[in-house]
Amino acid sequence: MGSLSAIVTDRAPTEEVRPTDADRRDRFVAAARPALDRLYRLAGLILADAHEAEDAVQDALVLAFRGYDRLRDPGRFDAWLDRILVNGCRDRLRRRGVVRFVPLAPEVDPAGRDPFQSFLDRDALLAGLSRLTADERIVVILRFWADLPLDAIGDRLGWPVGTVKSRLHRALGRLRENLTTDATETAR
Amino acid sequence: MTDARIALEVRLHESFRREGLPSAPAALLDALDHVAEVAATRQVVRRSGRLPWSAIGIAAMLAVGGGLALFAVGNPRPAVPAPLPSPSAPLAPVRITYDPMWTAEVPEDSAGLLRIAAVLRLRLAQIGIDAATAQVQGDSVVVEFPGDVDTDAVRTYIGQTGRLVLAPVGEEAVSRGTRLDEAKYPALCDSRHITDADVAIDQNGDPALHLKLDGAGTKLFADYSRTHVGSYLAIAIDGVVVVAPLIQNEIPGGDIEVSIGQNAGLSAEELSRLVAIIRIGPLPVPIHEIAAAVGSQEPGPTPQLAPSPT
Repeated sequence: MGSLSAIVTDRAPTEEVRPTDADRRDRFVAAARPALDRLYRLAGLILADAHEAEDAVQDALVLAFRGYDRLRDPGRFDAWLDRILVNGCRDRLRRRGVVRFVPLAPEVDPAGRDPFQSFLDRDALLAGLSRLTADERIVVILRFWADLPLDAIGDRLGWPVGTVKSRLHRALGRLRENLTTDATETAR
Repeated sequence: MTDARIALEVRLHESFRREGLPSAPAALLDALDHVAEVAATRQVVRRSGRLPWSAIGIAAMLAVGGGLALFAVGNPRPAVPAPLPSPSAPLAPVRITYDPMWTAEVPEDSAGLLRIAAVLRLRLAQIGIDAATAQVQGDSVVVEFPGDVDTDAVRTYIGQTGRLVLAPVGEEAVSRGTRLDEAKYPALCDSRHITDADVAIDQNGDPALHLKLDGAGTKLFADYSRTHVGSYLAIAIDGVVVVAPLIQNEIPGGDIEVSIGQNAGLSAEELSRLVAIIRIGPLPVPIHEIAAAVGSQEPGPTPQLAPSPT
């Protein structure tokens, strides 16, 4: 299984062509700054946890900065950065085992709760996201929150468009199931 | 597309739009401004997922903590526990005793014992367990680290010998976890040829393992890769394949980049531990766990841990 997707390539030293370090840093910071809110919100929605989102974005920034020379097409910066972040978030979700699902306890002050968790809990449909798998959750957020077309989602996840389509379809099916179950339980 | 599906998609769009989400906190802006300094000093993924993010992050967290404390004083409602690291009671340390398995080629000696202790200490430090100790006691090495970690994962990680081989396996793909038949597939290079290793990001934005070879390794690899583009190379630790990438092109300069695709089944944490093992280098001989316990050195009954998975 590992061999199917792993390749080994030459990493030519980039020292000769690399501009000065300060220059490189300034270019990176200038490119990443406008993306910061989007990255934080994307991580927050995927992880449903503001603190973890902050960590995930910090990790992604460090990784991206280290690999900045590897990005050959500057026009792909946003998609590339998103992919690094989504990879990290997916790892975090998998390490967690299941996506945390915390029902809103009435005695807890909602103002002090996690802003992303509160946002997701306020809507029955979005609350259902927590019952999806990590990949299903990510694909739904990229499609309906980030408004990305299927090929751009594929680019961020490393999947062919057909896979994006089928996982999205499955995710929507499960969200609808959840909604129906919830409605039946409430009606009882 | 059915009407029900369209209705669901429209509802999803609306649900996400209903109200704004928080903006990136100030600490993240600071972090971005200092990204170069942090990238130069920090290992990317450490054990718990919550990472010490340099002094800036700590200062920012203290500031947030202070803010919450003030808020709690001025607010009569029951305070919500803040998700900040709290000074909890120190957990009992974990103490593991290892005996080296000396061989005829590598016989017992005190320098070897010291080297084993140093490697184990470095391995622990590399995954963020800075408070660990590893000391020679008689013929054994005793490792002690705080108990607030996934003990079994740490034992599996530090207990490996860590001998790396790069072995060509021909045209057939090999799965992760396969035992490498070293008689059939002799190594092209091994740990002695590696001068550095780190976690990189490939041009797709996926994680990659970067290995830097020494002069002899570079020559071996250049000669081999020139004539074997399109065949597989197994990267194995202690005889077990970790990843077996396809050689994509000639590698003349000794800088090997292994793209770890999403289906390679290697998480970021596993990758960073693999890098730590490679970078620090192997133990001179395998070690064998002879005792493991939770608790201090004081006499008295100590709960025994379950046998190590290795």
